[in-house]
Order: sequence, then structure tokens, then C-alpha cells
Amino acid sequence: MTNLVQINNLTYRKNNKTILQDVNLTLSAGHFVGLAGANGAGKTTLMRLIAGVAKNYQGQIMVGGSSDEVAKKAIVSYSDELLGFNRQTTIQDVVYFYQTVYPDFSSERYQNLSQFLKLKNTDRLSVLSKGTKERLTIALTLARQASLYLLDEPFSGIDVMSRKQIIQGMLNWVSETATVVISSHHLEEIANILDELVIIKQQTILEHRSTDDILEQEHLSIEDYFESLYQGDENYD
Amino acid sequence: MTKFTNVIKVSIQSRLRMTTRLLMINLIVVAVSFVFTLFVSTVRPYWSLSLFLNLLFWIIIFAIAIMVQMIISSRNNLRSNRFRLIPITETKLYVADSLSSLISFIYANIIQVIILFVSLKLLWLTLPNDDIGAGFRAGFIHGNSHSGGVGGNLASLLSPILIIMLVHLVDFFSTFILNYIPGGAQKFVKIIVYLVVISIAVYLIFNVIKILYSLFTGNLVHQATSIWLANGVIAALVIVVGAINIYLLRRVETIR
Repeated sequence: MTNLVQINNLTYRKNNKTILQDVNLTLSAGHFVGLAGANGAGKTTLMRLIAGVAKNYQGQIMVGGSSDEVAKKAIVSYSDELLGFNRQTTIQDVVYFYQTVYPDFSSERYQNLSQFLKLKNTDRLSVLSKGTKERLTIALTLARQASLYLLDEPFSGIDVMSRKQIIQGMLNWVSETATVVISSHHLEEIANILDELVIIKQQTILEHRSTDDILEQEHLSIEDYFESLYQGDENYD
Repeated sequence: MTKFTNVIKVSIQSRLRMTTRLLMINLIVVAVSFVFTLFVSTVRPYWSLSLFLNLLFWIIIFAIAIMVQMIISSRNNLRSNRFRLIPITETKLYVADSLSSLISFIYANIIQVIILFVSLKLLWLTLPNDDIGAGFRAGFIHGNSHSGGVGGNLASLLSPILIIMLVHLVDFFSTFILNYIPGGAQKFVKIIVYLVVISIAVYLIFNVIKILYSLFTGNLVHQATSIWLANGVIAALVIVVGAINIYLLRRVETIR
């Protein structure tokens, strides 16, 4: 069976500084994967490399069996922060943009997500709170019928109650054969839905284990296990 | 994969919306400026001339504003996730972006020409037949009413596209080499690199303008061949610079 994501010997440098080194990662279809690491560890960089918007790396990144950038982008849905849109753009116009440029964008799924996440189509981006923008990003990302979803700290501006609702709702919105990679500092909140945990430390992947394995063998919660790997590390904040 | 026509569609729609907004502001500014001139008693009899000159002046100013806005919009589109995440090759994305800029310039030109033509017609019909009115009419006919023609119009559309592409070239090339410079993320280093690249670009453009200028024989009567030669040079530069930009775009990341 072809792995959904296959990363071999990935090294990435920027401004002559090594960000990621000798990264090897294999992800199968149909899993929820947590991506954890300290601030600046390289979580966002790894997602950007997979999504194809970070360039000039060494090694190989294959998604869906292909290393072609266009083929990868066709099956990867990456949570975009809406930075390229004019602040006066309405949510409706943003949705129109997504409907037009992404053949796999499902208007029906977006409507359901939009109602659940309480989004108003007439609102302009300039009046949205941080939390509402995050909700919009989640709705747009999950409305695509992709094989791989990359959610980069999707809950950072969302209140605790809403976070719990959204996390539980994810199981219903995403196809069983799709893989969702979530980076989050709130590991305890997403632990229930995770199948696997990937930890980035010292510019590479330190651990990639199933969450069941961690619970059974380490007898620690996911968050405690993550923190145990950083114990004694002066750089961790 | 996303269809090329869909990318052009969203790109053009956003550019046209932006251009229309600027054109409307242009008209409002002209209206305000024109009304102010009516307070001068000596200008009032020549109100249609004042209107025409106000239009001409502000259209030139707003043509520059439209170009600057187009440069900013184009640069943001090519450096943001919004367009770079779309499953389409960088070649098609760049061509779509350039085409949408060109179409917006054509649209702006058409609107501005129509407005100027209406104003000119109004001027011709209402300008008093005194010394000033007669002098203006004679000067206008004798002068350059057909200057440039098709060739000139083509140059006026290709030149802004070339300028936009040169701005892309400076931005992409600077970003590309900054990636390999230690401390490239620091503002001071970025400024130095951009200044160096801009200086090189200005030097090259200056030499190109010298070549274009040398094509003109200095005889105002026989400019047609020179204008078409200049168009050829500009078109060739658009293709060359565009190709370089596409090569660099594949190696330039989006802004985080």
C-alpha cells in the first residue's frame, strides 16, 4: 500500500541557518496525527514544505505517491491564514474564491461547517476577531475534499468550549480515508482524537509513535509524555 | 488540477474591482478640483477647457496610482499562500497574473480615453471663439492629436507590464539571494541587498532606454517605424524578464 506522505532525508535551510535536518516521516491514510514541538522547532516549516509553499530543500517529499508540486497541492489542504486577501473582502467573496480555484471544494460541506462555526457571509475580514478568522480558516480548509489536511495551530484564538466542540466535530467532517495533521500547543485537548504523535526536536523528528502505544507503554498522558521529552531542556519555554 | 481560466477569472475580477475603485476616486477628485476652478472668475468662461485640463492632469496622476496599486497587488498575490497554494504550475500562475494586469490596464485606458473624448467634444462645442479659444483650437490641430496612434497605445500598455515585471524581478532575485546570505532575515541586510539589486536593475533599464531613444531619428514626421521598433524591444523584454521571473518564482517561498 502506498503511504500518503513519504518524506526521505529532508533538510531545509533558510538564511544559511538549518531549520530541519535529516527528517524522515511516513504517514498512512486515514489517521489523525498530532505534530508537536517547542516554539520555533519547525512544525510550521514542515507543513509549508509538504504543502509546497516552502522551497529550496534537499531530500524528497512525496504525497499520494507523487513528488510533483501541482499533484501534491491538488490533494493537500493547508490552513491558510488568509493573508493574501484584502481586508475589505467579505467571507462570501473568500468562499467564492475557494469555490472557483479548488475543484474539490464542497459548497455543501462549507455551508454545514459555516453554520456550526457560526460564520456570517456578509462579514468583512477586517471586522473578524482572531477566533472567528481561525474558525473561517478551519471551515475553508476542511470544506475541501482532500486526502491530507494540514492544520497549523488552528485553535490558537478560539475559546475553550468552542475548541472542544470543533475537535469533536472534526471526526464527522473529514473522510475516513483522509489524514489530518494538527499542530497544537493544546495537546491535552486533541489527544482524544489523535492516532499518532510526531514530535520535532533539535531540527529533526525525535519521535513518531501511535498514541495507544504511548498510553500503554509509557503510562503517561500525551501531554506528559511530550513534556518528559523536553525535561531538563533549557531551551523549552 | 485547477483550470487556468479559473485562476485568470479570480485574478481579473479582483484587479478590475480595484481599478474601478481608483477610477471612481479619480472622477471624484476631478469633480472637486474642477469645482474649485470655477471660483476663479477668469476661468469660468473657459469652464470646458478647465474641465479638460483637470481631467488630463488627474488621469495622468491616477494612471501612476493604478500602476503602483497593480504592482502591490501582483506582488502580494505571487508571494502569498492565497494563490501559491492553488494546484497550478507557477508558469500558468505568473501568466495569469500578468494577463490580468494587462487587461486591467486596457480597461482603465478605455475608460480614460472615453472620458477624455467626451470632455474634448464638450470643449470643442463650448469653447468661446475669442483669442484664447481660437488659439487653443489651432494649437491642438497643429500639434499632436494623432501622436503615437496604435503603436503608441501598444507601448503605453506594454510599458507598465514591463515595469511590473521588473519590480517582480528585483523582489524575486533579492529574496532568492537573501536565502543564502547569513543574517539574511535581518532588516539591515535586506535593505542592502535590495538596494544593490535595484541599482543593477536601474543601470540595465537606463541602457535599454538609451537603445530605445537611439531608434528615434529625431524627425517628428517619421516616428511610425521607430515606435514599432520600440514596441518590439519592449515586447522582447517582457518575454525575457517574464521567463526569468517564472524561473525565480519556482524558488521563492510565500511570505509567512
